[in-house]
Amino acid sequence: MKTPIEKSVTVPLSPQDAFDLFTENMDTWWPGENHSVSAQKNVEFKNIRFPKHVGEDIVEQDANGDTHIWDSIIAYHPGKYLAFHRHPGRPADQATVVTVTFTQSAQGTRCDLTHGGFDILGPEADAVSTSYLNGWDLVLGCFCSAAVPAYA
Amino acid sequence: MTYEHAIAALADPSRRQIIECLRKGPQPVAQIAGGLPISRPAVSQHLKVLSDAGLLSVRAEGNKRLYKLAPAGFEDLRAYLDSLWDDALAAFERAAIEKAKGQTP
Repeated sequence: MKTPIEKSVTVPLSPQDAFDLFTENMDTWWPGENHSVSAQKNVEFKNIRFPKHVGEDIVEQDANGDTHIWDSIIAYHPGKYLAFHRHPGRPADQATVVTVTFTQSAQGTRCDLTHGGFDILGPEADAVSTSYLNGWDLVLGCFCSAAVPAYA
Repeated sequence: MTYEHAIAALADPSRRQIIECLRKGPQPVAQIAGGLPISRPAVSQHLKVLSDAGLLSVRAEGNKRLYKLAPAGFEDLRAYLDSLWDDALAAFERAAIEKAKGQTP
């Protein structure tokens, strides 16, 4: 449970182009029909606004015009490195954090993504970390309270 | 699907507080309720939701029912996040290949 999720993909683009596609053009590829607050509310997914500055929020918009905050940018180095987490204002070690590094390779750019921060103290930390609980909604957003009324 | 119930269950701040509280170890409902600004019936209802979602287990000890965290439920959540990133990066890769085609003269 404490181990970060790690994923890598190599794409045939320059690091800058890969970075731009990942960030400002996220809504051209993000599988929002399955993975979005909108999807969970049975509303048509519209787009994602991905900001360019630290401290700003990644925001999803649905077809009704409602917005759903996903995450807050904590590092933004175009063409190189990106990090975001939920719960702005919390210490970095109390939120799950997603980082993506963009590294030039022979085939283009290797993108290494980690979703970590599951490793908070506590005797039960191996099973459940505070950060995990606070960060589970990272990409899923606040989706569930609306998604399953029976649990609201 | 368990993870969907788990995510839904954890959407509620009070329920996250209950989980937080149980990280210290198994506890009876009275002790859990004592640390929260909500009524005991409300706590019981939250415990039921969390148990139904696979995040808690309960055992009887004397005349008390002790609630404890159920790690397997949380593993399901992590597995869900893991597959989510697989989906997302696969889609990112497809888009990157399309973009690269557009760049080739």
